[in-house]
Amino acid sequence: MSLYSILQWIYLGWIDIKGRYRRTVLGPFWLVATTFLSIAMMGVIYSTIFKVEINEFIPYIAAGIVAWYFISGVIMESCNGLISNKFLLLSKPIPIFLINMRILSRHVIIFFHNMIVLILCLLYFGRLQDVLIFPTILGIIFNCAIVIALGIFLSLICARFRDIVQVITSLINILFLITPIVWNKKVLESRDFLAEWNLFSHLVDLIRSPLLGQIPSIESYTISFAFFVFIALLAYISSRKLRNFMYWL
Amino acid sequence: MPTRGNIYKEGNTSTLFDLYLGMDDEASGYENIRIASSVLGFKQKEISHVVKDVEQFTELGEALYRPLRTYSAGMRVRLAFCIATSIDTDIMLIDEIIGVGDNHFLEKAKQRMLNKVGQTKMLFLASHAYFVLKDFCHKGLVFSKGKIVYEGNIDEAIDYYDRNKHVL
Repeated sequence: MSLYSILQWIYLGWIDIKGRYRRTVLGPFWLVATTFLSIAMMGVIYSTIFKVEINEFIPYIAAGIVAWYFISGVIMESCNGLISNKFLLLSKPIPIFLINMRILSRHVIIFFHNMIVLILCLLYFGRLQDVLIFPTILGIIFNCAIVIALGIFLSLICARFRDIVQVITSLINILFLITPIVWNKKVLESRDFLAEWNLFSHLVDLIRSPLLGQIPSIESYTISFAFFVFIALLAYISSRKLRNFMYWL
Repeated sequence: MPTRGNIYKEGNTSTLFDLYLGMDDEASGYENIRIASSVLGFKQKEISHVVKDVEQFTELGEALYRPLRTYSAGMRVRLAFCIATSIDTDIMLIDEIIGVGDNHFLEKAKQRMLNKVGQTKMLFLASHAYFVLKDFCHKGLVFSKGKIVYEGNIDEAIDYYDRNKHVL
């Protein structure tokens, strides 16, 4: 596996995005439109429910949703990563990492499309100058590393045990609701451990906080890093144990 | 379901098991050459060679600018076959699908494979189409339930298969 082959699979991710929107009028801006609508609607409704200032809340929701779409998108697609590449894998052995690289590159592209909505939103609420660029990039890199490790693990385990695909699909939906994305963890008051113990609230925070002008807590970095090491180990073990995943495709 | 097995091979392989090669129906022929080449792991230098090779061999001409979905099955097999056989390997594995091509194509494909003898050291073709098998192969293996039941020259193997196909 060379750097060139990694670039080739990143290119394939780009082709996928191109292919998905060929012959549509708006093209990839369908993504932007969807993100815009969900942020606007959820922003208005949830700020009313939680009785918070909409000027504060919409940028918060926007940054959180863009981060969440990225994380959950990679995780969901990784479940079918090997299954949907069955024909390729049966005719040629391809490193699993490359398959997951293609999924990641697809979602990084989508992420930057969604950034347009976020930037417009921050601009509208006068928060654009608050963005901390370096910590944001660091947050993205952290999340990329975690979702690719998680993706390798999930794609293998899902190819072998098809039920896991369903489990992850339902879990992701639940996670969206129980992670502070469309609500702030301050509303939990004394029960804020419910958010603290949720790994994904830290992952989202690594991208969201710097976009809103705050440095994420050291805690979030350490927890995310520990999670990465754990998942990377799991990915390594599963790729050894399920070396013959081809038989299950 | 079998969940175990071993592959013993000497030399690198290329395969043509389906006409898919990761290609995108909406992308043009030229784009698909790049896509398939990336999937197959060709290097930058090799890709430009593949493009020239496809232009020459497939006779698709202008059609290479059109999306793949406008291609007939015969055109697809020409494109996929050409890409898959463009870079020389030691062992070439081909499934059934080559029979989709028309006679002209099969003749050209045969010539191509014959020219490659020396470079491609082995061609392994799985098919039930006798004329294709006779065209391409000189040795034949008959399989039954995953085991080799006959090994010999191609005419004899086809003969054996014909006589025993009700029990195989």
